[in-house]
Amino acid sequence: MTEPVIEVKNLTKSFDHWLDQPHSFKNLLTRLSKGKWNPFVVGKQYTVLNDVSFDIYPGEFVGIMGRNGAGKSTLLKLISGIYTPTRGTIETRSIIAPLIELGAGFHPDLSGYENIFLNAAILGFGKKATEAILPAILEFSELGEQIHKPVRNYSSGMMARLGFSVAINLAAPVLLVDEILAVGDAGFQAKCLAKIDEMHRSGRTIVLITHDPNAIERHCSRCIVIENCEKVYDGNARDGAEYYKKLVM
Amino acid sequence: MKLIYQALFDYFCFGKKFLVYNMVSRNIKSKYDRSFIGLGWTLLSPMMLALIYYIVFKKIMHVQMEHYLAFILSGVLPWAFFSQCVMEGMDSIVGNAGLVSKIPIPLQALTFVNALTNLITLSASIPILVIISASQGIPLGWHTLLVFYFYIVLFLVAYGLALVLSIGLVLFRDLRHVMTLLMQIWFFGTPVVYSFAMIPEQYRIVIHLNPVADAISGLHTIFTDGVTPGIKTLAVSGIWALIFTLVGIAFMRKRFLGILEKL
Repeated sequence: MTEPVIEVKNLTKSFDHWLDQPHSFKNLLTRLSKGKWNPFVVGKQYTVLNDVSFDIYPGEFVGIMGRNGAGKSTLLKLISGIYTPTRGTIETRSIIAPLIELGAGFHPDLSGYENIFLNAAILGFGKKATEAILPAILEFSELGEQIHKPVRNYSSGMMARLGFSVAINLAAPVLLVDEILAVGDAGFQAKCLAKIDEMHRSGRTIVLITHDPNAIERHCSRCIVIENCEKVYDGNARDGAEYYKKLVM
Repeated sequence: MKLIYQALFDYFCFGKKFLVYNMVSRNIKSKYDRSFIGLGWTLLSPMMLALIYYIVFKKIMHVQMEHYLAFILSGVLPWAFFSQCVMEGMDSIVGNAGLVSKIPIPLQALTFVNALTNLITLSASIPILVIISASQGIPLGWHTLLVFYFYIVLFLVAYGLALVLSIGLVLFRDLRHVMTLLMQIWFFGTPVVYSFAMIPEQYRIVIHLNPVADAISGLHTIFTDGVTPGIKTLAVSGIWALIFTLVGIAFMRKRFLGILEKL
């Protein structure tokens, strides 16, 4: 039995209520003067994820579904290490590339070509790795000569295409994909999904977050549904998609 | 020992050279519009400020001091760097909220990149200072190279402070206004437009408690007196650089956890 690449155990995440914390000195002073705020008292908390456990094994294509605000994106941020768990543990045993936002850190005044390096560096890759995949990026982005124009002159579709090309071609064994496919035209979306499929076939592990049960049914090998902060379904993709459809109807 | 090495490794982003290189070059390219003239543009505003001080203090108030132009420039240019480094660095988490809340990226790298970008701008001030002070007949020599020592001291103090403030700004969003005010007070509390020697004897000990006072007065000594700054100036400024580096490392290791949830 192979070891899971991502091991989530009894994961609970809660946040402080925004209103319970002072967010400025002005606010702090007015509260102190009214005797309303004691820095040593922890305010109310609200839970976003409650006791969630699952393992993801190498080579799986897992879809995660849930309504808006169900905690999907929080889960992804926890896995990628942006948030820390309140309780429970997350163990990751591989380099994980989060595709949470396309073209993170793109600078409008730099050319598409320069932004490729910047973006790859921000995603945590080195010079050699970036140069190795440069031809693949240029080809997939279909930008041609436009690549040397400043990104400021790109359409949002072109920007998304470039961002996706960088992120998908980076040689991370695990990809976390958050609803980034909402951008771009239908043709590009299909191309992205096909590319993700291809990556999966070449042995990568994919975690895809989406609202679209049909995409899950078509591409994923497994599906996790999150509802009311808890994992309510974990199993094969077809049943999961059906389950989700019934849930949101 | 290994722990110290690891802390320094993280703090100065040695493992992220490609990231630092790319982000610094992004900043430089966008700030200076890919031209050397652009760099002059950034130095223009502190130089205008220096000119104003020169006119006010030398021509109107008749301050009794030789080489006042070299004096004012060698104080105002480094101070402008320091204050910009602190104020921009403070914004490195909040200003990049869209980035840091989506991509796992070491937070100190953003502050470090900002400080480094400003340090590069500052190094462009060296030829200006050398030309001005040489034209006034001040002897320059090997000791002039100590300018790098003081610049690095200012860099380390600004980096450490900006790191702490960048966390502070996430928790208290009006820290920006507070700091704008404090930086003004700090400016006049530092021997920038006046010299260390002008401070009355009994207050000099207090001035050493100002982390940048010794570094700036050391620069004054290099460019207006043309001699090597005293060992006390070198030591005190070095100690402040060390203190701020340690504070920065402590904050990096303890306070970065969980800060992004508060964004």
